[in-house]
Amino acid sequence: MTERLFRPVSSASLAAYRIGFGLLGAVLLIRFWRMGWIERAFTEPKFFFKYYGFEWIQLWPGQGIYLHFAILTAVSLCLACGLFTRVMSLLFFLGFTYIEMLDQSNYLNHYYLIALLAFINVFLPLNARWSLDNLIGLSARRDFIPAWALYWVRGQVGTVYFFAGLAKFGTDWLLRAEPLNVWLTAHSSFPVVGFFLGQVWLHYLMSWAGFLFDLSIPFWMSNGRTRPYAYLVVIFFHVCTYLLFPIGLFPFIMVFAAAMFFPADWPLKLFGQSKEPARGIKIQWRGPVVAGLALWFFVQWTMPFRNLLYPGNVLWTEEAMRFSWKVMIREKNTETIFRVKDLATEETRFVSPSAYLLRHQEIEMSGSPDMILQFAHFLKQEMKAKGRDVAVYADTYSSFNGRSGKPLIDPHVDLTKERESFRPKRWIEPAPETDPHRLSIGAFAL
Amino acid sequence: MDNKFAVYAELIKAHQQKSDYSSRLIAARKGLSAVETLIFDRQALVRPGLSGELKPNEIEFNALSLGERRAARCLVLRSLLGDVAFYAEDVYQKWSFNGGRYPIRVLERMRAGQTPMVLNDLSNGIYYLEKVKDFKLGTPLGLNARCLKAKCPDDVEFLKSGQGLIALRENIASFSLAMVGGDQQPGFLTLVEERGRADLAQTLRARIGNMNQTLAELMLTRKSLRELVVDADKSRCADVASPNALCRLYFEVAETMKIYKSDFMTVMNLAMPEGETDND
Repeated sequence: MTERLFRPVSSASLAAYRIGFGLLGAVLLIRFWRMGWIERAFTEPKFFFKYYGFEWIQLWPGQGIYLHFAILTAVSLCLACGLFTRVMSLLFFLGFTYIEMLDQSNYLNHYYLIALLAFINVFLPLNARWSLDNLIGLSARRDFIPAWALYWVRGQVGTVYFFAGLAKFGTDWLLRAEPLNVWLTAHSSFPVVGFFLGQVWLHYLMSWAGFLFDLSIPFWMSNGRTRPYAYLVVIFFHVCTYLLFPIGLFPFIMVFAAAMFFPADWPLKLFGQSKEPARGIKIQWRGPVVAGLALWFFVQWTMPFRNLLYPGNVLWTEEAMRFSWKVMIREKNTETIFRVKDLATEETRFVSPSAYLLRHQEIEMSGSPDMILQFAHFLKQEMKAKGRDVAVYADTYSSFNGRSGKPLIDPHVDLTKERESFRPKRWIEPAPETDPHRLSIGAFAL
Repeated sequence: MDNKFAVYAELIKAHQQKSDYSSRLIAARKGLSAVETLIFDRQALVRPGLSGELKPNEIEFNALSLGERRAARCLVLRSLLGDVAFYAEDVYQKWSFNGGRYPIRVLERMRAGQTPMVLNDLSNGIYYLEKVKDFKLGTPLGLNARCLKAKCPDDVEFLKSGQGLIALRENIASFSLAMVGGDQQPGFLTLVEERGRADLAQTLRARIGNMNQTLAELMLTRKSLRELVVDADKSRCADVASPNALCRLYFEVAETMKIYKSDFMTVMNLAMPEGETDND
């Protein structure tokens, strides 16, 4: 096993990965500018939802966030060019993770993947070839690198697929075709295929296909004989998700990342270059590399299971939902109104989250009990600043995976008396036990 | 342009004949607010009314003669009302799309598997009902935390013109029209039924019916919204069973929005306004 990790492989694949990663990173950051998301995510909100334990992370003062994005875009392009590669990798990781840590309501699984890959990049010999570092003599060109560098990236990408598949192993997804029933029915306007998207049998077919695809694609991509066909399936799958769902750059990132499963010299073959004769490489850091990889994948493969420590359906409670590749598997629309009770006068008033939050923040908060708790504490402080000592309750009503709405939070619990922690939140109401309503359009509905 | 000082600034610019009528670029509702100030807030217009630390605009306003103020007011009003007419015509044209049967066209295209993208835009418009709940009812009644006094009757919309209740009626009528339909035209709830959720459509119809009934009760009082707020007994203002019609209306709107933002949004798979973003 250790021998396989340190066998020499072509550095071409990793160099192509570096160029692609840097360019995609730059596109992602520029897209933030162009879509006006810097304002919406960072300069306009009056309140940020902090990650537990990372409350100390603050927004840059003044126009600092614009400078941050500008510098990070430049860093990303430097990374693509392979200039000061390791420093740029570290800066990209820190800069991107900072952006993501500012507000929980911006959490996306693919941003988390980018942050993880950015961290991995810091340790990889990304500048081995096709880099400005080689040109200006900062590092010597190396045509061969130890295989662990590739395996780390492949392992991480495979982890995303496999656990995204495992997360679909549930009754809603497989036996009720939810939430695809809700999502696809709404796409019955698509030209040509629209009629079929309204059919329940297709929702089942796509649910099972998505489940089997995610769960097995890392293995098909790891096998030389099935890989070319599997990659075509990868492209088809992600093109479909791109067309049907608003998932931004995620499909592009995954199509690009899955290419890492091809043999390490695939870029050379692509451009018709002859195979390079294998050369030995100096083996360094054998112990730390093995220990590091073992630790990394131990954490990555246990994190998605941590929801088992909490009672209830994770898609409802959202406890341990983040950082576990539960990608696009639940539809939750929740109305949340806070009741603020003046402890001196016993008077009750209502606060709509929209009075303080932007819409995307309200959407994220309304389905996430931990964020509802944070906001309740914020309201307590707001009222305290106005000279009122208050208790704060949440009236929630949540429609989950096509079911009729029901309360998500116990409306009798004063949330200001609850503290954020890793312990289960007993004030989350049980998930609905009713079956989802079946939506359908047309004559072929089941 | 929804505060008096902004209106005054516009008046000064009109007097100096260099107005760009910035209200053209803002929402029609704010333009209406400015219209209300210009027509009905005569006291503020006639007297300087501004004291303390004055901004340059305010000093200039105080220096205008009464005649100059009246002339400027006419200029600004003409421009604003032109804008209101423009926006009203725009809305009318959009809803009159294809022979004035726009909701029917939407439904026909839905049935043919061609959901027009405007569906989400329509939903965004309907979302205005949340503002009705929070600002037009909740705040004046002291039920919303924006008002920390017992009640805030002076925070009713269109206070000077006394048109607050009419505006409320129109808002709820628009919501009803879009959801239930009217004049033999179907509304959103027809789509809900077609997707197999007749139960949800029935619930929403009942809620909308309640709102309209309560509103009719309020209209019969022939009181202004401010007077109704003053009359409301807040101690009995707790839920949809409240004996006070205005209180009841607040909770009926709240209950309707609750269903709208959860079950309805799910069935129609709509995005909240300004909430569209990347997912996972």
